[in-house]
Amino acid sequence: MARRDGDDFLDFAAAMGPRMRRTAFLLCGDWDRAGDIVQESLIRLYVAWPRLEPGPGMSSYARRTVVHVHADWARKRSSQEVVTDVLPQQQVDDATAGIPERVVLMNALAALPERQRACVVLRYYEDLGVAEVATLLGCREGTVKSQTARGIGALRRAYQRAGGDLGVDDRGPREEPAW
Amino acid sequence: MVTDLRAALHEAVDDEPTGGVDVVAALAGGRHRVRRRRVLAGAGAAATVVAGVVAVLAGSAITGPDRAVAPLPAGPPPLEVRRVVEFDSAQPAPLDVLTSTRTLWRDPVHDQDTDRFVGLTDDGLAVRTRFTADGVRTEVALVDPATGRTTRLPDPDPGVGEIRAVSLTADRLVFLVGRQHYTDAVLTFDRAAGTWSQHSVSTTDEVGRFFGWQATLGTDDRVYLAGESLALRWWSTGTTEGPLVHEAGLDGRAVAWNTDERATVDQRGEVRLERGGTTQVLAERAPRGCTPPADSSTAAPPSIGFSGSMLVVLFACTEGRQIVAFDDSGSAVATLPPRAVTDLSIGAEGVLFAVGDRQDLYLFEPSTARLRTLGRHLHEEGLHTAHGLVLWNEPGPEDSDQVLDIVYTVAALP
Repeated sequence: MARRDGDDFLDFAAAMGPRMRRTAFLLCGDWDRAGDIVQESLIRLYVAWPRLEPGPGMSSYARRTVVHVHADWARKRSSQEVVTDVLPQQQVDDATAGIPERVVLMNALAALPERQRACVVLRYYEDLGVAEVATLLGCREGTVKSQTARGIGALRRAYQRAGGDLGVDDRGPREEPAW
Repeated sequence: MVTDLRAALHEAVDDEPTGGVDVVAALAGGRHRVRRRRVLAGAGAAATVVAGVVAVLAGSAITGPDRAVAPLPAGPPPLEVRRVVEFDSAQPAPLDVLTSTRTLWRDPVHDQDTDRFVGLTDDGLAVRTRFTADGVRTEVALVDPATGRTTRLPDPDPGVGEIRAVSLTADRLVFLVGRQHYTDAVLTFDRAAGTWSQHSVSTTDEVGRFFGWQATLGTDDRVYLAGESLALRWWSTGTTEGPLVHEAGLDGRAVAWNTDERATVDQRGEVRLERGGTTQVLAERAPRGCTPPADSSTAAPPSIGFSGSMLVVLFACTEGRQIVAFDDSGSAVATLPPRAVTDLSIGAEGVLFAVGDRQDLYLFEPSTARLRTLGRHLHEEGLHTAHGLVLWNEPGPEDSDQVLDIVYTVAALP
């Protein structure tokens, strides 16, 4: 089948790669690491390519792979960190005071537990439904809803500490090129 | 000014640097990986054939053609369990619903207040918390499920957000408080004195996430925490003072305490029981039919706990998680086939657990090897059992994609 050809994979990767990279950036907060996550995700995608059915499932698979690669690497990174026996017991300053809004967002996102962050990004950047996020993350729909809401609550409190506020425009997702 | 979350997320990636995704390199990398897998698969098949031939020849030479070929040795033998309890043998257990409370969020941003039961005390009370997001305030009350009588506790300090139960006894309630920016706290309520104490713990990037996964109180009066990482890395802190200390000796193991005993299990299925300075190995390997996962960093971890004097272990398997009960002498007396167990609570009443996509709730009683189905389904994490009671949560009537509606219910077991 022509779709299985390398050219088809390249077309697919070229169309989806940039958005996968942006999603990865929101998950990890670093463009270089986001690029690495996408490279690894595309390699895994190529390996799975013969098994994938054409259609929306390919995009879902790509998103899932980005989330999983990010989670895998986060775990490995944490297990490779040098562990000290005792952690310093000191107050950490609120990092959100008096800084640009984008920094507030990225700091607050980084402070979320992995699953809350993934839920927020997939629900409000990727505009996926609750059921699709639950399938993608391998958890219950109720968990997606509560984790998303808790994540948004934490983000909102970070904005309020920085003198702003956060809301969700329910008029629907922004237009984005299909991928 | 109100910032829209969707717009903020899209603007955060507006300054995306050019480059960064090399699709040709990805194609080359993918082809290389496919080739390498083929080579490894071929080598593996060849090695299997050679080993099989050698084994057959060796077997023929030593024992003659009628003797079956013995499998190659592969570590310690699987754990032998006296009895297997099948899931289709489960009998319904009628529950006597005593009390419930509900959290309803119709607006995903502005509805942040919660009203829920967070646990059961060992003297049979439900701990109810009401969290108010504006002002970040939490009220705590003890509810007698039998009478509905609610005793509101003095308010913890302002700024205490949503709390999570670690240990709830007749003497003391111990909670964790998750906060922003990695300053978390152990919050303790002395029930006799009626006073709160709070021990703040500063954490780092990695450890800050630890408050999201497993927490338990050791008999050494230290709170033990394992993070979201499935690899089970442990840290501990005192209930009233002291920094977080890495518990390297527990890494990779699930742990439970019972008066003067400590039990652990690792990903391979080795179960140790430490008592009075001696260590007894109850299992060297998971039971037959439970294949330990090749990659422990992506598999559901094992769990362990005491149900009265019996030890209950959930072995991590590629087939799911397998529950095994050990008696006082350390013998494995009963087991259930591996299933996708996603949440559990181990108490004197038995093992309360949720299984599969539908999150069906079961209660397994280790002392009688009886399995009961509760006819209920779990909505999100949060199972508890104590003092003949069970606590779970279910979707409420308004629950939908846009609305979070959770009902927390306490019922008495028959």
